[in-house]
Amino acid sequence: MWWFSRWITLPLGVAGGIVVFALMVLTVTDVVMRKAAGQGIPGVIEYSEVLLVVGVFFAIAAAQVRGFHVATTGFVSNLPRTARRIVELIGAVLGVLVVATMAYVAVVTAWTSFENGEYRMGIAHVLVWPARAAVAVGFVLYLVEYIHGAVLHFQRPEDEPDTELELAERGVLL
Amino acid sequence: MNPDVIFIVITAVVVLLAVIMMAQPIWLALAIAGGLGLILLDGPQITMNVVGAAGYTNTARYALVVIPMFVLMGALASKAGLAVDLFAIAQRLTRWIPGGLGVATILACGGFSAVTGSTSATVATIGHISVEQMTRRGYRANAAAALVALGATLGVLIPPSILMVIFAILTGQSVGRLLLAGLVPGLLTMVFYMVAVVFFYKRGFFEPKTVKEKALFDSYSTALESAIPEDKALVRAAAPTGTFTAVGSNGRSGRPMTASIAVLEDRITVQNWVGSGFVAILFLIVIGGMYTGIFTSTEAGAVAAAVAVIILLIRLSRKGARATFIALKDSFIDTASVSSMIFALLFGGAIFAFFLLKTGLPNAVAESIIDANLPPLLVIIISLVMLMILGALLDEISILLIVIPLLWPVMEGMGVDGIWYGVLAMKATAIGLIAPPVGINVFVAAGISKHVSAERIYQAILPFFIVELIVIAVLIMFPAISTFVPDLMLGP
Repeated sequence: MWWFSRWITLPLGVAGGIVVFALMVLTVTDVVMRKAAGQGIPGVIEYSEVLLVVGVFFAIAAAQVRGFHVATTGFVSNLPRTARRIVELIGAVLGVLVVATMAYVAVVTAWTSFENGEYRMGIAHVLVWPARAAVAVGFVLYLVEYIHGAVLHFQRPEDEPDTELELAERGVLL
Repeated sequence: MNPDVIFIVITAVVVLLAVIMMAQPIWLALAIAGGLGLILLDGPQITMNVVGAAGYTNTARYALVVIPMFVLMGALASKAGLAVDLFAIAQRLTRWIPGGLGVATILACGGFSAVTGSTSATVATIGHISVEQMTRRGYRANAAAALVALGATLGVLIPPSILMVIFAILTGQSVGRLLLAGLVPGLLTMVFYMVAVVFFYKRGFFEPKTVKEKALFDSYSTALESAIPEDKALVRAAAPTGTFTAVGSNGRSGRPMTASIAVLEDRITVQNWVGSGFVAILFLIVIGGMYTGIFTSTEAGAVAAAVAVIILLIRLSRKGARATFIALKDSFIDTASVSSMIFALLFGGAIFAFFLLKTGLPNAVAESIIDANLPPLLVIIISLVMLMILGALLDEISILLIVIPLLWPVMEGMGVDGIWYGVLAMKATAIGLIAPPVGINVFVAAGISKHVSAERIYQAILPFFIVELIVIAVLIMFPAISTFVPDLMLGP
């Protein structure tokens, strides 16, 4: 496995899972407090929303590495080898350009949010920039993994990243 | 509509299909097509603003917290090995019925769906246990795999269905009401499947027919005979030992994700009863919590996930801290990865839906269909057929994200009950899970069955499409089947 995936992308994916776990603990604690004491955690909705964004975007690149993002090869797999590679190359270049744009926009938005001290209106004034930063981190990592996967694919087509159906055919739990 | 806008819509749809056909992730295809459409409509600056905001604004919604909670509960329940217990109990309870093993598979699929909300996970988990069991008992391998693929579609209706949650969010329906609405149709579908299994079993549908199938059964029989002790106690030696493998970097390196599976055939243990009890507890927390109004759907998911953590700790306590730690870590990364996959689709779908909204297409389509004075039932049936056809080509979440923003204004304009239509749409979409060419459940079933291809499973599953159509017809004729539980609890 590529060092970047092993040491950065996948650990961040686990961190995303831990954030989801924290979200669960927060929700359960709120329920228990509300039922027991008649009052829940102030601002639980605002905190939950920020945690949700962090958990999801921390793992978006890990999902790419693990082949969880849905794609279909039904069309390209029926093309002649050269035509398939041309079509996939066009798709990959387009994908890189768009994901790079998304990553750039996400970084700018996160920085602006940090500079302005943007917060979520509600019972608690929860700062939003950590969530926006998580979006930016997620897209940047996704871009790196996407480029790596594409380069690897065109260098060694037999090692191409699996699509959902190919994983399914191999008996991988989706 | 303005001809320029029509041209832009056609361009965006062509780009969407082209990028999907280029084997790119579907969430990216939706974002590219939606983004391009917005650039053509409003220019690049507004598009950048929309894309920049979409990641945060479409995720940071409290109503969406329910999705990772249900995913977490399912991941923990899978790692706790509850499927083995469920199948063992179902197998014991149905042994007197003709085709009992097939009926047990359907029951186990329904039960496991109730704690995972994922059809693929249900096929993989139950299939690992049941397909080889059925094959050894004389079922054709492709028919056995077809049963698992079919049974797992119950997860689309039986709560907690993640597809239901997504439909509710897309249409503004109550998540709790929709989840409750799926309960009776899900159980009804399960009954239809079981009756069909018994019917087909009696007609010899599951018997090995080809030379290869008979040879496979003979080889199992020989192995089984040699493994059975004189006192015919337990059959352990021939029990399947399956491990699911996760994909490492770019899908190449696998590693074990769950404990091995060994099924006792002739007696059930206390652990089997306890495991099935755990499944019932999780189901009751989700359904009972929402039904009684103690919890919202999000809270029910969170509480059930917390209980699933405790169940996992109890189940793995004998295996030591390391095994427990690995199971928890795997559950976390599985949860985060699956949730990210779903939210990425929601992100791409939101950009595409925003573009469609800006063009005014959904309203224009709705107005023209309503003005045509077509009978609502006809429009509903056409939409369901469309969902079934698309379901055979794309994955279910993507279909909902592409089609529902267009369909829902039509249904709403005609005064169609959103809860009822939601159940019908889910049922139609579920057929896509088992329909060629890309019925994902069939591919997962083929992956876990060593002896059959997806094509042969498609052949075996064909007669069950009739059952699916009968169920849809019943649900159309009697809307109360879908609406009476939520109406009873939450009011009309």
